[in-house]
Amino acid sequence: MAGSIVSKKTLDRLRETFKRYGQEVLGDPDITVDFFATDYEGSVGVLLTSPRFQNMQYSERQDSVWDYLLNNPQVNKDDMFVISRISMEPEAVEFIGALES
Amino acid sequence: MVELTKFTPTYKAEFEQLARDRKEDFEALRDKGRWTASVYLGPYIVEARLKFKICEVLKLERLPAILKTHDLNALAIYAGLLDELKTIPHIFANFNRINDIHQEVAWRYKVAAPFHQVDSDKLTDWLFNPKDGVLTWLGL
Repeated sequence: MAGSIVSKKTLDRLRETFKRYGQEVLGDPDITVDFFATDYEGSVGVLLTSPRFQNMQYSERQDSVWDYLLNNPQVNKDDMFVISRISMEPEAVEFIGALES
Repeated sequence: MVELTKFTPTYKAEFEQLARDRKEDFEALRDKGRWTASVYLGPYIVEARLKFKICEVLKLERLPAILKTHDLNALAIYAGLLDELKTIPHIFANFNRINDIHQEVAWRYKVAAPFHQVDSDKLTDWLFNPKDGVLTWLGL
């Protein structure tokens, strides 16, 4: 798995964005935001964990988060383009390759 | 040692046809209400189309073996489409939604369930929406 050259500042902004998404869309201020490396240098994968995802279909989760990123003027679109995928889980999972942020 | 000059046995024309075949398979599964399998299969249409695009851009009859990957991001890079993708945010978002399904191993093992129709319908939109569909963008 390749390392990922994404600045700490970008990861910090993305973390704040997803925290706001959790609070504003899901009503979950405790949403967990993790980043993982992908094979694609300069990009990251995002893992969001919230029990609010429990009652949402896979595709509804995808639409929910991407619609937030696309339509929220607070979201920095350049930051959005470093994301290569977003995974969403209702409960914590262990995964390999987490990025420190 | 990575074999930089080896090729896969599949020809450009076969990837072009493969994308059409997988699209028909996707539609056949949906017609039969096999929603779960359609979600698993759908991203392969994008993969095959991108592999065809790479052969086209590189003027090659067969795909370089180092591009034998399921990673849609990597394929978009070598198809020369990444910069363009980043100028069209709605298609970028759909591309990444599809990429997440393609990378998500769990879809291979999900038992067929009627509620996956929602996912299959959404995937159909992400793939074929006349305005923002990834395959519309890729010319299929």
